[in-house]
Amino acid sequence: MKLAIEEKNNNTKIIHVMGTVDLYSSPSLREEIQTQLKKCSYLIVNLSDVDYIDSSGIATLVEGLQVSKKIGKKFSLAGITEQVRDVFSLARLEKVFNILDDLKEIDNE
Amino acid sequence: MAEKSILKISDLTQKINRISSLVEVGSLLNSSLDIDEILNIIMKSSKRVMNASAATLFLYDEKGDSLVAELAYGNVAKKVKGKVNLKMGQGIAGWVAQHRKTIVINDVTKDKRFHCNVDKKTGFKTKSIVCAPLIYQNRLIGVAQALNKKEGNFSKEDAEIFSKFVSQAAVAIETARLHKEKLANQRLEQELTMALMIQDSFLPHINDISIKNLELGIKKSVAYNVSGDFYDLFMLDNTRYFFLFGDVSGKGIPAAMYMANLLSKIRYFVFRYKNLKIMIDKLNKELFRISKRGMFTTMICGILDTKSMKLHFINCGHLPLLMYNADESKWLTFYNKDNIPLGIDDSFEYIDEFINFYSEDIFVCISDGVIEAKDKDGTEFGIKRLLKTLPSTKSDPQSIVEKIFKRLKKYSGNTSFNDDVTIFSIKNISSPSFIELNTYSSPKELSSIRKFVKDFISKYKVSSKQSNRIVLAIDEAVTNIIKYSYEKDYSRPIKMKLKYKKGRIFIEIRDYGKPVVPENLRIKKIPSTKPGGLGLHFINQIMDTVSYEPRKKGTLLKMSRYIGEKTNETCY
Repeated sequence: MKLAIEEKNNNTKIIHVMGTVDLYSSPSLREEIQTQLKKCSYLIVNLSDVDYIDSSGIATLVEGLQVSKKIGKKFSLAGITEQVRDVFSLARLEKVFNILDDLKEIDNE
Repeated sequence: MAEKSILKISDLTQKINRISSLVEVGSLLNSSLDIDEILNIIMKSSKRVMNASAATLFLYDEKGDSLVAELAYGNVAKKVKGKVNLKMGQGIAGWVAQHRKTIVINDVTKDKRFHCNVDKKTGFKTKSIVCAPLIYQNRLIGVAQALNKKEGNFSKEDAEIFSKFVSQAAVAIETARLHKEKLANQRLEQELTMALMIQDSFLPHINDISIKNLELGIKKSVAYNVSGDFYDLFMLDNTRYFFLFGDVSGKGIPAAMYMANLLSKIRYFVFRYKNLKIMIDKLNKELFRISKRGMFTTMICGILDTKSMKLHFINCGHLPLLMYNADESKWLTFYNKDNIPLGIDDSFEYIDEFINFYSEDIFVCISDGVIEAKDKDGTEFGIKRLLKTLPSTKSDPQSIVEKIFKRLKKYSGNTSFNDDVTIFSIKNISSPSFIELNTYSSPKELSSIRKFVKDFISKYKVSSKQSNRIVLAIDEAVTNIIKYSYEKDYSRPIKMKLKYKKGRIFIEIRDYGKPVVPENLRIKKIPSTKPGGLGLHFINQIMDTVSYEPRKKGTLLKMSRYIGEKTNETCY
């Protein structure tokens, strides 16, 4: 798994996640989400290049959502691939997250 | 006048008696094929027909260009047999042999040709003699002589009768000799048949080999009674077999004996060295040592592992190993052109190969005779034609072997080939097919575990969504083992077994960590955003059956999921 941070206007940041999110890689994603949440008012996690995610990845995202709510930040996911969508649906968590269909939505905002 | 007539009548009576004797002797001679018996009859009859005191028969010895007294009839018989040798031209018999003429001498003392040494040796006093050559198809067989007429002298007529009698004897001797030769040939042929049977007993037959999970096909046709082609298959342990297939250079008995020796050596070396490369190295050195007159051996041999579904083999200068890959429905050839035949260079380092040998896969080994079979124009059958002959769909090994033979017969236009043709085929019929993975409890290993599972599932007809879910469930199970059973000790063993049976995939995961207490398994109430238990939820959602079986140490997790019938069967 690789991570890339993109800064947008309006105090918005995007974490681009590439590769596999599992027990091995999720701790570094977790750390990045926690760090970036403190540095912006809106954090978007882009999953369009994620080829695999498991429950530890899901838990990491859920935790990010929980923390963002506690500290009054906005948290969204973007670019959900089929595999990721299926895992969300298995967890019945599709509706819990704010999911952007397209990252262009941010530029329009 | 009357006196003359009476004499004539008595002459005629004598002549008739002699002719009837001749006829009698003729039928007597034809009644036997035993050479000793025939010689006996000849001597006995010579004496009687010629009214002589003794008779001797010399046989012509081509090698020594001399006459050897074979048999004598009379008082001195024992003193003559085998003891009297006459050079060509020596004595009366020698003269007759040389000139091939019948002669009558009524007083030998007046004949310069007479050789008195024989009489000195035997104590027999030769007075008169009639001597005739035995000729068969212009070939000298021997000389017969009748000695000392009991009453009066040998006449010209006697000579005539004797020469006729002797020519009959020549035919009888020659016939008996041919018969003896034929018998010897027959015996040799019988011995060859026996040799073939004995050789055959070295090679395993389909019904002899107890093989689990393998099906065999073998057929051979032998050109020169005994063949240099060989093969063997034997168990190493419960799941592994050693197979070999090869050809000893040369033909006939020497090649067969070398082969028999080789087969027993190989078995010994296999069990002694327990390592394919070392075993081949030792065998090569041994064959180099014992090899005579440029003999060498080409061979494919290796270990068939029905558990890991792998074939570990070395091709020592033999034709390629042909492999039917059932998944892709295609034939592959494994040629190793770098390796040379065994017994040629004792320092050669052989290169081994590993290939997959999954369920339904088939491999075929062939002898030179297959490739070198010629059509009426002398064109060789070749590998390309062979590959075209091989069935492109599901088949059993024996019918593959038969199919190749049938094609070869058609190609070469006759029922027997010029060379030894041997074909040996093995199919992996282990079903359900399963594979194993030994790994350990590190999160780093998860990606290779997922790949292992994905590769296995990819052989079957499964949608990518279904495949991803199965991979996810197994990943979650291993994640739980790492987190809970081994409490994040990242170096503990995990064993995984995947199998497929009747449209269903079975997964077994074994750990040796903290036991699972089923009541404590937290399955998340969904939807929930609290972490933990989500993996278990995934497992239960995805799998049809899930069970945790406690073991003395650790747990065996068994899961299964229906995925449908196998993809590749649509190709058959």
